Amino acid sequence: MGSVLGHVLNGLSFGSVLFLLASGLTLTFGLMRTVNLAHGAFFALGGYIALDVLRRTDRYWFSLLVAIIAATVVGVLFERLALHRVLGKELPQIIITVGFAFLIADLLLAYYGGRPQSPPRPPGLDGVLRLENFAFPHFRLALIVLAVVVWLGLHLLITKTKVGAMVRASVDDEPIARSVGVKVPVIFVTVFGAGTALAAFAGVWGGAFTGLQPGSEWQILLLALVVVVVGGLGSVGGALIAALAVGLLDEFGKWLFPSFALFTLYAPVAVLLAIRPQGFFGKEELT
Amino acid sequence: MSEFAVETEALTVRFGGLTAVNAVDLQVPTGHRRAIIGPNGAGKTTMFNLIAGQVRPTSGTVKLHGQDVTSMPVQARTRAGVARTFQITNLFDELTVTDNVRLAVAGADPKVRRTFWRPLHRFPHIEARVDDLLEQWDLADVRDERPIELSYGQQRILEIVLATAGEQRLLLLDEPTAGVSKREAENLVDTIDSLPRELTIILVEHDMDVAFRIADEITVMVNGEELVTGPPDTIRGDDRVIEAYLGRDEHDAA
Amino acid sequence: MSAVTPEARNRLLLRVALLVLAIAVVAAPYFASSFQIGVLSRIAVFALFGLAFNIVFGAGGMPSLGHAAFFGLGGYIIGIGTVRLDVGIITVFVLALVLGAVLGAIVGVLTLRSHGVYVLLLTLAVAQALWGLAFQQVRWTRGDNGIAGIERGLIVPGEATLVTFYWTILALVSIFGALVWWFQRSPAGVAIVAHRESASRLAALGYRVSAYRIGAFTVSGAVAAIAGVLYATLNRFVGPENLAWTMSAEVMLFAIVGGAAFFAGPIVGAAALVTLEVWVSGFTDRWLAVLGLTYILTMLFMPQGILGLVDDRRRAWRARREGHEIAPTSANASDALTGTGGMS
Repeated sequence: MGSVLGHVLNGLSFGSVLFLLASGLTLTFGLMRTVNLAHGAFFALGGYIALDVLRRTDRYWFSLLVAIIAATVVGVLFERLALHRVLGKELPQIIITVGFAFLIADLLLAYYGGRPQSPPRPPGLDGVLRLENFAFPHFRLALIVLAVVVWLGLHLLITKTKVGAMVRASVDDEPIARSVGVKVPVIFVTVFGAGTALAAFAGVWGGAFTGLQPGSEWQILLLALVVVVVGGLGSVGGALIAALAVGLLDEFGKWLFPSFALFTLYAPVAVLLAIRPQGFFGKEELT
Repeated sequence: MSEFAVETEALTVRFGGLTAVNAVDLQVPTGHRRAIIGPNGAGKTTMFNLIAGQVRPTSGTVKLHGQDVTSMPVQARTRAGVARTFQITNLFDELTVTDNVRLAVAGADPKVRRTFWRPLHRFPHIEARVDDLLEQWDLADVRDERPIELSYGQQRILEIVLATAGEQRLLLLDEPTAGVSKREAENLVDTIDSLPRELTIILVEHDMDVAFRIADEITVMVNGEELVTGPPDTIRGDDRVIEAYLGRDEHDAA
Repeated sequence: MSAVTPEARNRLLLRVALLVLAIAVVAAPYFASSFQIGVLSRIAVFALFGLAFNIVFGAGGMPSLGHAAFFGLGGYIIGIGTVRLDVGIITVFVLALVLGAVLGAIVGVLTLRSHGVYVLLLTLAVAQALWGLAFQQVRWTRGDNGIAGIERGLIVPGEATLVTFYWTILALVSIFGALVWWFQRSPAGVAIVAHRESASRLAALGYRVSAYRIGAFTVSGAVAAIAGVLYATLNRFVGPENLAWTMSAEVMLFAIVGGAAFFAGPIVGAAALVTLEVWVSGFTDRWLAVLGLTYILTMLFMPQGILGLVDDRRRAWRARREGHEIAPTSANASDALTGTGGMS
């Protein structure tokens, strides 16, 4: 029983990392309808910058802050200079964000090398929870708690404030949104910046869990994309449930069928997308 | 063979809580030209889509030439002889006019339709028919153009050509003159008028003049129900029709 | 007034130019280095892969990001078939065609209810599932190490040299490329384009739209698998990277850079990008960064691709000759692909 519980908690904490990344995607992809395949690059960018600053200054929270700010600045510039020009056009967005992701990934490889590394755990979360013969790191529990907190925050932001409605209005009918005084470009760049910041944060905390290495950001991005789609575009609650489900699927796949783990992860996703292209929570937008 | 090209029984469709079409019994004899008119939201376009197969009824049946087609998909109804045009011009914009017509003619021939090893323009019997159609409808000059380069009236004519290319028995026209200039509309009405008489035509029309000129009989729909059916002269003088339209007109004007 | 119109003269010039180009490509071994022959072989194989991909993408308007699945499948068929088992080369090709077609049909069925970005994600998930198998089914695929030692001589009739291998590649690419060309002009091929333009109109003409969508993926999958066989033979190696999603992204770029609305688009795109790669690799290791920039710049400044630009020029020239304006329509062609695809 202990091992099953361990795997469940492992799956949930990986699911939480996925959700941290996916939550940013729910903003850019789900809410803004901007297909953002560079999201994983911001994850990696955040992780590597934090690691770099930490090595130079040895101050964890400062490094975290620098990483988030730096990645957000890069994201905002990218949105203004390139992505905004192909507003509402799926395919150009795909191509441009893939290109940007290649660019970032290659520069990171050039600068930091191809050796796997991982940012440290946040100070104060190094301990291990022990219950009889069962042990579980505090950090992983913290990830799960954090996922729930981020979900609650975004949920409130979108449903209890006008932010969600303003973003939707800007996406669906830009002229109308402008005419009622919504500053559309500001909305877009803000939402994109927020999404990027979440990705960078996921890179620092999630990177401590998954490790950073060239190409690994793609694996996790694909899963996060899947989470956003399966959860239903724009549904933060759906994304949380889907992220935890995918985390569990991944963990139990690895445990039960180690040589089929990747297959048992992607194949159900493909079948699910075929049967229910709009995902599970696609109907209830903005929740 | 049934004497009716189209026969519906207690045809009803609901979208959520809204009843768009309610228990309509429509009978259109073979070879007749029937216009369905009515104020906005009367359910005429839904009625039309029920016959074409784009919408499935909640209850009731649709028969075409005596055959129950209620559960048949669009392409099967097409093969059973139903042709349609769309309210918004719906053509293959990136193909040439000729290829548009070729596809339409080939659509009626399963052998050609399913061929994937021989070029579309190498079927002599298809080419002959395509050339005939382009001549007949004055489209030969623009055969290498793309539909977007044609005038709107020409696009509407091309729609009718595509719809009837397969030697169909029933033609459904969804507001054929909507958005067409007055002069081109005249031309279009003449064109429709000159279609062979054995072709049964059902049209949904907003423009009363067009409906009265083309149709042998007119069905007026209000709130998803059939109000009255009769020849144009009877409809023109019918108090209920005037009321339905006037009531609506006042509303529109407001 | 001469008897030859400028249009006819231009068409003749184009044909002569293409003929000269074809002769030069075939005769390349007489004047090019063996390195250049290798580059040309790669261009040819990628061109075939691009042509196969463009049946679904350019013609069918369905943005697949999973075509590496077919490409990698072909590679593993010849890898496992000839290195690990002892399967004849004819059988390899037949298997690649059949299994590529079957996988294509499956993907076609799976994507029937999807549009736009959902097609993209679904095809990606399928390809990733296969990539996972290639990566983890070590007993068959040797996992990350891949299968090396695929004999180039297997596909060459007669004596196998660099030159005869090159000619064999050219011949096979030409044959399958011609089949794709033939297919795209057939009623089914035109119907696939028509489906992109208006599925409702196509259904109203009596076509079962889903059958043509599946058909597009089937033919595309079969030919992409053949390209995969050739690629593995060319590299004498097949590994999970043949199945990686970056391969799917690259073939999409071939089509876009060349001009997805044109048959020859992927050929031009493959030639341009492979040449760029060879050139850039001459002075920097940062090819991936350059490739990334190419993605961004192409989409921002040349979304209709190289052939789209050429086509616009040609139309403008003709319009000037005829003394009136003709709106460039190739921009529309690429809009159909790159425009606001159905998100819902």
